Amino acid sequence: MTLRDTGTGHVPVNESAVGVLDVPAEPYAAGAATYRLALRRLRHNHRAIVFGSLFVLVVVLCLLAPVYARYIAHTGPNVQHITEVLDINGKSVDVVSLTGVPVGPTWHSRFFLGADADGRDLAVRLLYGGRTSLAIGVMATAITIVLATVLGLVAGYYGKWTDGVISRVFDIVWAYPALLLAIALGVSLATGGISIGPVQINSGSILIPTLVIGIVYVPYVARPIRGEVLALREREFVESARALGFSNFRIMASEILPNLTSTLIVFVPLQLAHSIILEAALSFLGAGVQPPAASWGTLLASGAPLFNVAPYLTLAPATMLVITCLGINVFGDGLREALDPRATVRTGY
Amino acid sequence: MRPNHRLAYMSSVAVSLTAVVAAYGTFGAGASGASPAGKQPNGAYAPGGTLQVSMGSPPESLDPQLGYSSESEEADWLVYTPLLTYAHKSGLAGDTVIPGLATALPTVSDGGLTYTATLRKGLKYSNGVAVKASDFPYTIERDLKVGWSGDSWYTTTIVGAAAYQAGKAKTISGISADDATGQITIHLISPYGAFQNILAFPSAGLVPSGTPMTALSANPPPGVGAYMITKVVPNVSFTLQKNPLFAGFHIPGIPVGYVNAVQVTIQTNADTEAQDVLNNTSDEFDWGDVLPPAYVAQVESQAKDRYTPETLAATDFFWLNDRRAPFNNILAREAANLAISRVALQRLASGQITPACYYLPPSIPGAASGPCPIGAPSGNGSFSAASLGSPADIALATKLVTKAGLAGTPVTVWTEARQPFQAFVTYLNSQLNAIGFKSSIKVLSNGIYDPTIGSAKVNPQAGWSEWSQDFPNPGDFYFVFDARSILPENNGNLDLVDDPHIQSTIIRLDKVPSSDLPSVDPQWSALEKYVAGKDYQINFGYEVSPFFLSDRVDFKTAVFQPVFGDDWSTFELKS
Repeated sequence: MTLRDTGTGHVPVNESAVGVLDVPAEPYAAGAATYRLALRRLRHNHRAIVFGSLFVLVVVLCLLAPVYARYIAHTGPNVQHITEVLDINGKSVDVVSLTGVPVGPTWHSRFFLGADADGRDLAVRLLYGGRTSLAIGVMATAITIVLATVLGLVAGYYGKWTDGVISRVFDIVWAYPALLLAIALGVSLATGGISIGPVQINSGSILIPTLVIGIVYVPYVARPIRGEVLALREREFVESARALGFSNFRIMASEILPNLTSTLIVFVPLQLAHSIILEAALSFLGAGVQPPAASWGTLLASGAPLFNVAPYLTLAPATMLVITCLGINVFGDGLREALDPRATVRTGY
Repeated sequence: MRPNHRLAYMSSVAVSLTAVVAAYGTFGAGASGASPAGKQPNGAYAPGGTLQVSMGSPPESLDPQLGYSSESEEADWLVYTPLLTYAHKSGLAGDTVIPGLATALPTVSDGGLTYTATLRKGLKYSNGVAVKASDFPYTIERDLKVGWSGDSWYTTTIVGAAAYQAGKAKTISGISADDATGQITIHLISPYGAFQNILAFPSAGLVPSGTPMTALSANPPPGVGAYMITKVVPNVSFTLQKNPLFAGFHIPGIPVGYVNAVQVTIQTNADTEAQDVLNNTSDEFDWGDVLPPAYVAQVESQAKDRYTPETLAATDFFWLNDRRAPFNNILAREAANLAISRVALQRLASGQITPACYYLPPSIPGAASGPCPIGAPSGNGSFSAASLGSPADIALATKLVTKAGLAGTPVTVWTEARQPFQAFVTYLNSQLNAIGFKSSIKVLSNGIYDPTIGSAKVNPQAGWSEWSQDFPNPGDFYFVFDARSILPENNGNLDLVDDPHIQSTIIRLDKVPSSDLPSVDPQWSALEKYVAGKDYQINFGYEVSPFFLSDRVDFKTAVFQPVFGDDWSTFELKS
């Protein structure tokens, strides 16, 4: 038996200035009807559809990286062609000049976007780098959402010392700016890897930046969830469930969690964009994806010193990063509006 | 018995202030900041002005008994003249050891065990205190007490130095000095041919007896040199002022300096540093820095009359752990050597290395030349450093790996995060994978790289390193192949080579005095070829440094000294 909140709407939940989900006390229909209605609203939001499609296009292109590398560029993401010479308009051009400047965009199938300073095909690395950045973003978001949901649910539902302990841990994590905390964790783990009992993760694995990003963002999502649970646990349908003798676990899983779904759905695209950007920042600073693997952050880092003479090395990954995050964010806004047109979400990243 | 050291030092500070004030009165308008008045009738520029220098990294310390980095020595060798020093000349001539505060090069007796030198008369420190012969043993003792990181040069060569450092003796028994005659006698543990070079370290630059046996990085002690350190803002800037007393000593071969002051500012952004020199807002690009790739072409075209790339006595190489698979197999080492294109690495360094396959740089006696005998034992022949890493070489290397049964062997290559070193190792990783190994990279932050790869517990397989000369002697370079350098921590022999032939040759040739090195040139060359044939490591280039000055400096007369880099005492300001 499941009791749904079909009543008079949510009580406004106003968490601290860091994470707020203000939902007006406006009645709305939850459950399947709610999502059908949301989908209809989303379909009519052309801006969200266009930007969402842009994001999907980026994902598809990145997924096709091996195809591009094998059948068009005929090179791999880590293959270096430093001393090779290209024929461009009848002139011989070094892939990497004696002064270390790589060749720019060409009409050749290889080096279509030019080469990086290590003589690798930039287009191939851009697509492979996108796969890495997106994979880390998706996995880190999943970690954040799952951990934040569980911890926010437990803290909000049980309250008292359980809430006190979990909330203080959040406060401690929150006390460090997310980027600084991620750098500290990333640098230390990227050097030695992770070895906890049977869990062994090599220092070069992308699981390390994934875990780091996934963990540092947990409080940012868990606090609003906890706030919403604090309100929900006082609602009549929860009291009814208690009166019927449901266990705490069952109340949390079958009564409260379903009422968090729309909030979580809104958080996913937001969190995905944040995770991708943090990955880029970490990799740019050398604390994220380790060489020779490509990510948009590592491409930005390797291109930055040559910005004066080869700006495309920086502009290409930066453009991909902007398109991707813009696509996700605008689509996320559309999704939020579709789920509850009157809700406003403020996050304090 | 020595005088009360601390009191002597304090009184010297008071004298110093008096001397400086007096000197400023004497020099009047020629003091710091005053501009020279153009060319004199003899064609030289009028002395004076302030040289603005950008330095990419702060000196380790300006205390001569503590600073060992190139940035420290670049300043200290003009402030603290040792008994012997190097000629203030460019090119090979700059490698010549000349008398500094000693009247002549030391006489060597007892089969190379005793060195005797005499101190010049009438010398004074920049604070006006007279220099005594006994200041020399005091200076060496201070080196050992304050913690100069090159202290083993003294403890392994001078009798009683190790005992003094260990606190088992009150003085260094192997050094005696007579203040009356100025005679200084040094007894060695065993003959060491490069001992004259040891005496020419700026750390052996005399300081007054009584100088505190503590680090004086922010307030370095007085010395005898063309300049004196007047202001230090740690990690930000420091200033050298002309020493008004030095010109009166008339020491042959040591310039008294042209500019009145050298204002050194730490500028860690190499792009800004290059831009500043291009725009003439700074007078010198730090020779210890790599010219950013984005500026190389611009500097070469816009500043060609004030820029030259100088090949240094410094070798870049990939070390291969010869005691661990796969590089304990000579075929694996040979394959790795064949697969590395030295020209590719030159491009990754923006042209700032000279491709090579031998270890000793050309300016070092005993350097070998000619085709590279890579894989000599397996008879694969000789190669040109400029053509290695060709498709044919890769094919041959792949065959060798397969033949040795090492295909798929995991290898971890180590690097620090700085460029171009990370790019070097990324390339090594790529090439090792190309010839059949299963290679991956480990990138460490700059501060922990050396201690990590030097730890026996880590036992790393391969990675990047460099050897930059302490002094121009092949024995200094062969520290990395010396079995005595193998240590559980701070290991100096990263290849872990313990080859009896190399060892016996090093021990024999190390006894040859620096002045006689030409006589053993062929023997060092033969050792070079032997080492290259054994493929113990992958030597790939000699570092090139930018000698890049502003338009304000007379580039024609400025000296790039091969041991200490930009020689500020030779820089003349045009206006």
